[in-house]
Amino acid sequence: MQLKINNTVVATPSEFSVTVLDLDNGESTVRTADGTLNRDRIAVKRQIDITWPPLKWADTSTLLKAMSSVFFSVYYPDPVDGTYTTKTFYVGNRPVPVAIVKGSEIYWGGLKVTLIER
Amino acid sequence: MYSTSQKFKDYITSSNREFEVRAIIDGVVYGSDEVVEFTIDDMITGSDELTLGTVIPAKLSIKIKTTSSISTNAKIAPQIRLNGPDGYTEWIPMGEFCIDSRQYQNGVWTFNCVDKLITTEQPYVSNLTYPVAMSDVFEEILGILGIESDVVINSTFQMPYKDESISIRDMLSCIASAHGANVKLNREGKLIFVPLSPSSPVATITASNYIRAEQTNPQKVYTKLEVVHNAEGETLSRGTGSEDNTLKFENRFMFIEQNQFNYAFSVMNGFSYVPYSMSWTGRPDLDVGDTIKIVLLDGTETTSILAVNKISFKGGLLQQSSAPSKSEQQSEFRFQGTISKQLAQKLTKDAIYNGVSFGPTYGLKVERSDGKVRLLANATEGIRIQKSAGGDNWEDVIFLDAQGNGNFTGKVVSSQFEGGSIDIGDGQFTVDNEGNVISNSMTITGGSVVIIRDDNKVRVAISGSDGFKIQKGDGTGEVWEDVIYIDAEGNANFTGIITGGIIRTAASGARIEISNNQIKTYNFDEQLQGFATNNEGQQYGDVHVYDGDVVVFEIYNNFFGNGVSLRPANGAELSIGANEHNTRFFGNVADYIWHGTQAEAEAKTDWIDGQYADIEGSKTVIGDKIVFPLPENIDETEVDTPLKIANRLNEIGWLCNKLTARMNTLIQYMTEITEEMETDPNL
Repeated sequence: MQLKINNTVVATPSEFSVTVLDLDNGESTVRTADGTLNRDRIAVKRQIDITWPPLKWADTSTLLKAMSSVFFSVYYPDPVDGTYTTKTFYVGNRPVPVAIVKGSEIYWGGLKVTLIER
Repeated sequence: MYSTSQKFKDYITSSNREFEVRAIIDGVVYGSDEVVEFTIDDMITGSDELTLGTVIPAKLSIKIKTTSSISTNAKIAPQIRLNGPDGYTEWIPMGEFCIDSRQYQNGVWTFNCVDKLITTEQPYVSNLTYPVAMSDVFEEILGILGIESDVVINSTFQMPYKDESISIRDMLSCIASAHGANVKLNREGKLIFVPLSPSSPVATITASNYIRAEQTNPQKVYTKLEVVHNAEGETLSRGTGSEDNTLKFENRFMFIEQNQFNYAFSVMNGFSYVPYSMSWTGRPDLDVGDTIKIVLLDGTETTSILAVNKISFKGGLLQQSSAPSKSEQQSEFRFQGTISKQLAQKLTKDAIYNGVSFGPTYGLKVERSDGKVRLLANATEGIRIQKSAGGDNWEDVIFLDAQGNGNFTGKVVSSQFEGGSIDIGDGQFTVDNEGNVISNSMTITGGSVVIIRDDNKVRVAISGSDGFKIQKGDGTGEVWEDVIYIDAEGNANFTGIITGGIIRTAASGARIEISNNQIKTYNFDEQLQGFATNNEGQQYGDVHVYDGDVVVFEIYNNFFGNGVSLRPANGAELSIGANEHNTRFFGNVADYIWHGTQAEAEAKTDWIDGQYADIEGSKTVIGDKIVFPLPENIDETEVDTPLKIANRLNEIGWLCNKLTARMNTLIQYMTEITEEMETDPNL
């Protein structure tokens, strides 16, 4: 699987999950008097949860820098579209909890991000 | 109702809707990625009852995330469309609005806008000649506002007179109410009439469309029309029915143009609606004034009107709609017009209240119900507050004329006056605009008057307790020293020169007066008595002594270095010296012995005792024997007493002195003759 963030090819994740989200108007998406739910859907968006295995420090840095903008493009396989797609996302927290020292090399493990379509 | 495609009708009533929005601002399209949300408020009534002739602008509040510059008063036209299985619908215009105000926060502009009906709030300045066809008035107004309209005005209607005080809004209201309608702008910005007339529903709203719908009052059926046609709240009516069945409105021309009233009645007669309030998924193609059918949960079908409408778009669409009404009980209150209605609802039985009315001649009139006080305000005369003891005899108590002059018959209480001049009592007390005060009479009780020179070097202080003071200061305003001080007891103190016309020790009677260069002393009988100067011609320099207004003695200034004379006057005697007091003269004394011939001496009759005289011809010459006659009281035969002898010796001594003087005169004469002979050999 190929994954590009901000046009940068990044390391292959260990976990990759795509969620299709419906955004509804909270005020007008209501049940009418006959009990029917009426939805005013504003848009359909994607959410991608990604986890990477331990990565070399340089790779980790490259990956985090690719997500440093407020919004950035992500080239990924979209399960709905049935093809690789490029959409604009933003990212939430980017925890990198484990630092592993192997010889003279430092590895960062457990990097996990959630990308939400703009 | 705005005409739409079937696709739109299908989509809008679907339970799964997707909207797209855009706003066209001065020709620039702002799409769904920039329009955040908007709300449109629109209505044909601003109160809790339907009426005729309303001119209420629609309002738009829209949020747009943009960095573009949007001009002042820009025109904003929001549009929405739906997306569905068969693609997008057409764009539905939601009206045209002009920006009234704006706020900016976090990159998002909020524009508060109104439609062009807001511009009707201006005076209607007509160039037409009245009476005039109503259609001409309507066309003139459209021209003034720059608004188009397809409304056809009843060709038989006319405006009977020119109302100088009417606004365009009120004139449009009169025109619309004559047609049994209210005024709105449609989605293209054209002016339309929304009549209140029986009509079929254009849309049916069911429980699958609304979230909450409730009937708020029983059905209203209008079978009677009532118009308030003047400022006094007088009405005309057509039709029959209770208060609850009466549709009321205002139109100042309908008393004259009652055919318009008849027409309006024909339009609205039988109009009915069910008052309701509803929150629902909305139909953006519906307009206020549209008749709608609402199917309630229990299956009841009600027909009503979309009178008040609020559409909110925040990605989805939500609509609040209602048709308000008063209850039957509320309708029992008498409709008295906009202002009088509010006042009348505050009336308390048996209390004095203010009645408000407007008239073309008197303007605004506010009159107390007991008829004793009223206020008139108009632009021709000004503002009057008048009182009356009864009847129509009104008297101004306050009159502010159109030139800014104020006339008050009562007390004026103010914390501050600024500018201008004051004239109280027709010149009795005036203060001009430079601070000069003129007062016919002024009494200051318990206070003081202090006048201070600008440099704090001199001030005048008058006080009831301290009297009158002129003081000099050191310039600080803190230290003052009396230069003239007249205390409350009448004592005067001067540290400088006194210059004045008359100074006298009493106003009349015994006194001393100093005036000009004279000093005079008077007795109790207002007569000059005693010492007085005589400076007549301001130059004599004499001193007089008066006795009962008669000069008896004067010290006469002889002028030109000739000394002075002591002169008794007006037959008065002059006595020098006093008994048992010696009197001496110093220096040479002359002319104190009477001089004349023997004959003159004998003719003289005013001799006084002991007076000395020098008789011409009685002078002795050389060789004369001087015979010293004995005093008559001496008897030669008797031996004198030592005292008599002494007296005689004194007399001899005196004669010797006189002889010596004569000798001196003779010697001087001889000396002069000798000197003349030496200088004149002819002698």
